[in-house]
Amino acid sequence: MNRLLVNVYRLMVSIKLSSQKFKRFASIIMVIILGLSSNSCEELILEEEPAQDAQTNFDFLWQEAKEKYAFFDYKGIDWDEVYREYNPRIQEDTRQIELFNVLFEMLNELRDGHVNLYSAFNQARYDIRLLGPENIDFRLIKENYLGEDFYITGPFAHDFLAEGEVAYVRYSSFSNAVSNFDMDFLFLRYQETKGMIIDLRQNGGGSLTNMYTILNRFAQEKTLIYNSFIKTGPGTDEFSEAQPAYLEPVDEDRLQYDKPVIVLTDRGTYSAASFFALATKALPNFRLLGDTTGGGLGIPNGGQLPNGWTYRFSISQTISPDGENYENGVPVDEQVIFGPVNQIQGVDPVIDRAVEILRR
Amino acid sequence: MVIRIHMKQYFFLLIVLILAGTSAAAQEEQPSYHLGDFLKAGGGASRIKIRDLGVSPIYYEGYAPLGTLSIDTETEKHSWSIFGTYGYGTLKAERLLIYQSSIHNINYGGHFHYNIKELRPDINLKVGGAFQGLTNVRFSPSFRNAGSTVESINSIAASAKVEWIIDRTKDRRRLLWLIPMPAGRRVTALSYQLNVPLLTAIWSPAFSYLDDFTEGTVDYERKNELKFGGFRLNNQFDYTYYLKNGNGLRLSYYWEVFKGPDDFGRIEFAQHQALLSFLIRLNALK
Repeated sequence: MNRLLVNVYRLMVSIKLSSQKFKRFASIIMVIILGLSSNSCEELILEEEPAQDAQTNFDFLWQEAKEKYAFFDYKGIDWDEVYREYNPRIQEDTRQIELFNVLFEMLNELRDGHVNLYSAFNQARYDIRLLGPENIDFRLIKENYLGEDFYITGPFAHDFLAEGEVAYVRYSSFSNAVSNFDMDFLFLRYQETKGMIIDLRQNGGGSLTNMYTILNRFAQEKTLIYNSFIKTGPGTDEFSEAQPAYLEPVDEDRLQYDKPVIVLTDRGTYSAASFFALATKALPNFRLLGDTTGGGLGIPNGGQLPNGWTYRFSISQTISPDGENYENGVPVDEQVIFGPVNQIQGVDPVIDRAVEILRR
Repeated sequence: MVIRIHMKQYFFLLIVLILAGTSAAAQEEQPSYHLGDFLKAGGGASRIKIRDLGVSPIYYEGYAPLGTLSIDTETEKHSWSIFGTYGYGTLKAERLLIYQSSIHNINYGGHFHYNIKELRPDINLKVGGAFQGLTNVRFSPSFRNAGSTVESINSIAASAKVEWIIDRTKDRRRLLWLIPMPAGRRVTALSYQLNVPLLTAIWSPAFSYLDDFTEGTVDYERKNELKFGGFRLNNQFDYTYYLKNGNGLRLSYYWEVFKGPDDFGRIEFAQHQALLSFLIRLNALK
């Protein structure tokens, strides 16, 4: 920079310019100098990006998780011990794939389906569905319960069961948006039924907005469904004040359904679907049937490593109104498992049990 | 009779009116072109560089086309201005993959300057204060539940400005090598303004934050928190060409750098804006 200024000065001295030309020349030089000096200042003020080597990336991810992950105490994980176990595997010449594999294994110590690492060539994950049987065979349901002409309304596959006495509604993912029209149609079609089955087995979650769109239609009054606590500092116990979540009844002119409802779950019922299962515990006409949900009640945020890989892990806790933390799964009111024999017989014992309860 | 004017024709007419208006006062009175009330409208581009350490240690950089609008008043004793600028663009960080973040970049504020000294008959030194606001709304899909962010950085600043009025008689020539200009009096102004914030408030994401949290909607009021401090500096260089009808054309270069207070979610930000604006005189030339 200094050399540039000296050269500019020498140039100005060496060139004989008339007054007006000098003014124009000076103004152009001024703009250039201001531009260059701005860039120089910027480099001084803004800090450099961290290095992209394996050790820097390993340390960065470990530190981020240490400060922000929400369940160290709940799960009894010693994260410092995890560092001591995995750090020796990072060397100066560790290749990208090797680094990814080490980070993959390290993150799986958290045993959390909301923990992922994303690179251009692979995605690290903890498959929560493998913790229990896949408690559903939807082809079997279509063949032996719904038939070929069941309705598909928005994200719902649905039809009558048990000679029209029970409504069966399959919702496979909370990533598929639910509209008020969808709910209106369900309630209109099934208003004469004795009860409704909402099948959330293997529903891996999505947007919580859909949970509210559905459950607000069942709420008779403003109902506390859970409290959320978000990390506010690096300590393992630094969380925000309780942030309550409520269901609120919709407009009176909208249809409602106040008959018994049974929600079917399994270990693949995760994240937003687990939130749904938890919320139903606050509604008097709801019951959970099947297998414990997969949990995932900590909401993951997102972030990026110095080498560009992105990650996510849970940074909040959700506690039920009676003070329970169901991060590892929301228990059902009655456990019913779909086994290999049922598959051979062509029956779904979870649906059968739900129908039996609703027809009473 | 209905006269339909297309957008292009409208802008052409506007430019012709600005450049060749007939409101010029008698030239013999040597009016002060740079004094008066002006509506300034223009456009340009901004080079933005930002890092949000709450989610990434990587700088995202890119260009944002922008538009600006301001009201400027210049008198012998003082000057003031209120402005707003809006830009929208895509920022990128390149590694093995290219990560993108879209940004709505909104700058707003105002300043007030007293003329305190004439360094030379044609050079004024002005000092005063400024309010400077900057709000970014960013969407970064790679950050998933932390992908939607609003940060607002607002400062009260001390401000100094040096202004050089160049008043001369010129031969026939072309302005910017394009627009033919007749021979006669030409008034241009060069100015440099430096703002040094005295107090900066930052409303930005807290230690950790989430979209789609408890109620399924993004609640910025809950996920952001107010902090004070950090380092901010900005300056602006203007070159103004005053037309005989009292209007003007202004080329501006604005640079700003900001480094938030040291915490887990520190924001680091820099922007370089290049703008071409029309100055539309709101009162008669005196």
